[in-house]
Amino acid sequence: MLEVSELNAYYGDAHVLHDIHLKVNAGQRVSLLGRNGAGKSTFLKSVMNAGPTVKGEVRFEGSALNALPAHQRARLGMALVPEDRQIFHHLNVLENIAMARHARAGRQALTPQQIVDRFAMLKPLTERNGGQLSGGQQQLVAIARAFAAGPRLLFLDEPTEGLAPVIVQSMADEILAICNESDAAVLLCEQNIWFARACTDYVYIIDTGRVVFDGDWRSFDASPEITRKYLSV
Amino acid sequence: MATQLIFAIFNALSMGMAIFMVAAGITLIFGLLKILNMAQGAFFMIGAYIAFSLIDHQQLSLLAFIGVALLAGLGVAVLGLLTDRLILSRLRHVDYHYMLIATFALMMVCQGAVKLIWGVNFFSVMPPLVLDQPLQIGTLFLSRYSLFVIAAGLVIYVILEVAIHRLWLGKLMQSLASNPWMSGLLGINVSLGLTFSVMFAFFLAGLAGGLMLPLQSLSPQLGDAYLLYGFFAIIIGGLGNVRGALLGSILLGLVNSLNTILLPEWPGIAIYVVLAVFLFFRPEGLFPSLASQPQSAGEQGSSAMVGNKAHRPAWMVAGALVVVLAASLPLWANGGLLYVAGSAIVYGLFALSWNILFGYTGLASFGHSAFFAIGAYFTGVLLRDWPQVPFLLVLLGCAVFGAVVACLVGALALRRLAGIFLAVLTIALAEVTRLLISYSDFLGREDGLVGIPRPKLAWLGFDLDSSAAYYWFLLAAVVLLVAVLWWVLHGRFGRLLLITRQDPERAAFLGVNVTRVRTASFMLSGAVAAVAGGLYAPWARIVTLEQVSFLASTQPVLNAMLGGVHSFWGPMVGAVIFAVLEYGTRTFVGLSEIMVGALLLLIILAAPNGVVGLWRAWASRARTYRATQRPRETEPESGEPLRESR
Amino acid sequence: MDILRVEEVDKNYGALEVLKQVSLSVPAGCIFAIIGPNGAGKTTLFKVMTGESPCNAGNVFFQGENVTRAPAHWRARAGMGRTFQVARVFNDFSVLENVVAAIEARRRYQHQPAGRFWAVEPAREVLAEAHQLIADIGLATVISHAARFLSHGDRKRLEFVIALALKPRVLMLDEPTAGMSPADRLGIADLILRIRDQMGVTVVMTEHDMDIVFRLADRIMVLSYGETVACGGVADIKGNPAVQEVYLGKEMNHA
Repeated sequence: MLEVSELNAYYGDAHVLHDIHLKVNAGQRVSLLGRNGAGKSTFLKSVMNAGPTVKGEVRFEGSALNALPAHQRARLGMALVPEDRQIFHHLNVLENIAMARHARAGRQALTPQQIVDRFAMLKPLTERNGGQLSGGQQQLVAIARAFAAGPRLLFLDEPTEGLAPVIVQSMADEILAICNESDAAVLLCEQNIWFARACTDYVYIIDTGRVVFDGDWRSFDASPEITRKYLSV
Repeated sequence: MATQLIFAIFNALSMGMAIFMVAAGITLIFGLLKILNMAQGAFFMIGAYIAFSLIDHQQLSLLAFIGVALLAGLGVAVLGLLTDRLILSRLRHVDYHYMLIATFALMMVCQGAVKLIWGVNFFSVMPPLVLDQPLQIGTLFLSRYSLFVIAAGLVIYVILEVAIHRLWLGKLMQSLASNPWMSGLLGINVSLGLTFSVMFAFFLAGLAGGLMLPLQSLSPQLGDAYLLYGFFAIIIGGLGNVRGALLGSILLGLVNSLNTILLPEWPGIAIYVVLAVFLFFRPEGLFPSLASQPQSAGEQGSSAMVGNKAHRPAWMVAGALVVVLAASLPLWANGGLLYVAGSAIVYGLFALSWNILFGYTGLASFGHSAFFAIGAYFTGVLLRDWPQVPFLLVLLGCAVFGAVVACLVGALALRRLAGIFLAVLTIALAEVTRLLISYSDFLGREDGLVGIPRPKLAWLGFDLDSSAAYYWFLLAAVVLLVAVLWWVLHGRFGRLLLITRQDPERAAFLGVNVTRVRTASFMLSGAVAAVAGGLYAPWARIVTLEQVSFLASTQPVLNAMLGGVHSFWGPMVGAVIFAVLEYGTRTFVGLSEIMVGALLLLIILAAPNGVVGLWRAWASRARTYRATQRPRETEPESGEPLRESR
Repeated sequence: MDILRVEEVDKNYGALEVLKQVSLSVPAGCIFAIIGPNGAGKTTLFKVMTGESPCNAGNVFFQGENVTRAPAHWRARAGMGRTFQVARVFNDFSVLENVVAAIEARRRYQHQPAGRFWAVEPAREVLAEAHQLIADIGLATVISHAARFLSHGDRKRLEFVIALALKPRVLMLDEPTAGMSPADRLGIADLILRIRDQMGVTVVMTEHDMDIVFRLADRIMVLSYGETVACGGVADIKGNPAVQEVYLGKEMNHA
């Protein structure tokens, strides 16, 4: 479904990503692990063409995306939940979620109200403005918002950052349930290995802008030195 | 008495609504795009001219009249589309000052185009049929047409409020404005959305122009006053806020109405006083605005002010040659050429004074002609009435006068939102200077000061009466001043200015009092500009209100941009190039505004670092080329990264 | 003596309370770290201490003086240096010019000789001081490079030099290792230790990287949802169950 090859990304003169190859099959759940600053967020932004200067090929559902702008990639069914949430402060929770329907492009999707009903924590907050939500609540809204577009492929950038463990568990269930129903693929960037393991079945690890490992969780566990070398904090 | 009061309030409201219709467009563009659109008044005027061409001398029915106004709005919206695609969209990611200068240049182009197409004559249009008779209520006669303007303003206000706060479209636009990056990720076409909002704001300007056409006579100056009042209204009301713009406009209307009752001999002055009071006590406006100071992306402010030090001796020789050549002019050039050369020297100094503010401190003044005029009028009056005062003392007086005025304006403008406030306040300064001069018999009103005598340097025994003698004095004085400025700006003080330009917040955490540094820079700039004016008055022997016009304020901006704002010498180079251009095209009078404006736009879009920037880029490319030709002989010199990279 | 003290600070953005009655005190000469999950209010607390954003209630004392309303330049003059999350240096200047500008700024407000006003070149003693500082931090090889062409790590180092050029009593570091490679992080960590040990500067930092925090900090304060969860030495924090719940819990799952 998503096929990235020879991807290089730059911020100004800084060469951030080096020759990244990565594949996500339809409906597959993939983790991208790595330390702070390893290039995870840059990778997601590069795939969405939203920020860094990118060289290399990104194919989505068979067609090369070339220089397609971010909003059209979103309409194709790629949805990015950025790590810093980027909630609209002047809109309430429902409106924030509804804003993503501009990327629906005719696909089937849950209505904002249906989505809110699926996330237990959001239900009492629907009328509250984005600016009055706590960090954790904003995180949930950002994830919920992505579903309003009926995405084919969901990019989650460190969704557990700043959330209490209890919330993380229920959030994982809620996300996976909706993805299962709509058969959406997921690419999850994480530092929290426990959460990544709970959600996904294939792992990529990047370090200083290069892919240093890929395989399923069994082969991940088979080589503990990888964790030590690339992931330990 | 009561009748008079009601009448005054009625006038205040109709003026307030007229201002609001322009202010609404300005505040919309500012709220959505963080651009202070200096061309909004000019497009308002174009809307009025389009409507005028459609109506001609007929008297229309009310419906047809509104239809014409809508058409004018559409016409201006199309111009908005062009403006956005050709200019604004290319400048979204650079320092906002370039955007300010670009819209300022656009305003000049519009004014020139209007003069070219419709001429400079005054036109007037009758109100539509139903509205041309006054309405009688008891003993009170109110103009129906003014009632119509008030109603139209209210309708526009209601539509805007509903659209922004109730409709999805408004929420969408606010999302675009507050976070374009995320909006794009949510499938929203950001650049289309921004273009659409620019077009809508321009549509409002054109519509207002059409609706208010019969309110006053139509001339190429129409846009200026409305632009200023529109700015004032949104400053008082809070930038980027429609309700604030409405209240600000009505307040201005009331103030002006009181002004005509209480101070009939000084029309239009009270508004400036109120603005100053507001800025001093409530700089954030009536409603705190959502928009914060635009972040300087700073992408184009990418150059050290120092060239390669190794080349200094060569440049010194070149500089000496230029001075010698300039000094020899009176010996071989004709009177016309000498006059142009003398003026170019003065304008070079003037442009340099502007660039102390922009290139070194990162603040733009759009009314620098006020300082020039202050110096010129001060000198002119002294030479005319008190010729016994030593001329050098007069020039010193100019400097002090300019610095004091700059200090006062700076005290108001440099507190919050420094860049935007300074832009508006300097325009206001030029305008209020113009008004005061035009009300004063002593300063010659509209005619200016004529026949200013040239000074004598009594204690040196020089008589500067002849053109050649005064030219040499001028040259010597400017060379001396420029040398002093070079020392000051390349030393400790220059470094202090440069760090506040590059990152004011960082500089503050180095213990730098940013407000004080900016005020000092503004005072230095104002003083030098006033001295330039003081040198100019006896050279031209005539000083008129022309010296305080928008065109005059654009001159230093243009010269500095043309030469390159990231170089000390850029403004001087620009002044010389422009003088040559002007001398070459002096037969095309009337085109000056279009030419100046278009040239400025071209520079901002194509070569934002000016001629000196192009030269440095070329020189550095040539050197890299030579370095690659000599394989691996020498490492690139360590001074290299200091220099211009783009 | 406490060099920096925060007393019962409240901060809200609209209806959202970001800081609720937060107090802390930093003894002179220690390395004080503020940690907590994203959105806990670390950055806001930091901004209140540096004066970037005013607080709604409460006071900030610096060396015994109430600086709650003091502007940035005033705090800098009183001896509060800082770095930013994304290194902020003067891009158009070379490394040397950056440091010279900082030294000249300090000498100006301390009324020390800073060379003649009209001299184009910086004074000899200023240059000497600048070279010394730059060599200390290890930037001597790039001394004439323009700051915009420096690597991420070198920019961060340059920012430290600029801050140190003011001879601060306290150095405020906002996520000093954010976005850096592991090698760079260790370098910065060593640098912070050296600054404290050799120059006697008190350090207050926010940081995400627990490894760095546990290696450096003498005292740690844990924030969650704008409230202090715990404050104490490294051992206290590691063993505190409340801290594990809000923050460290998931880190423990890594191992």
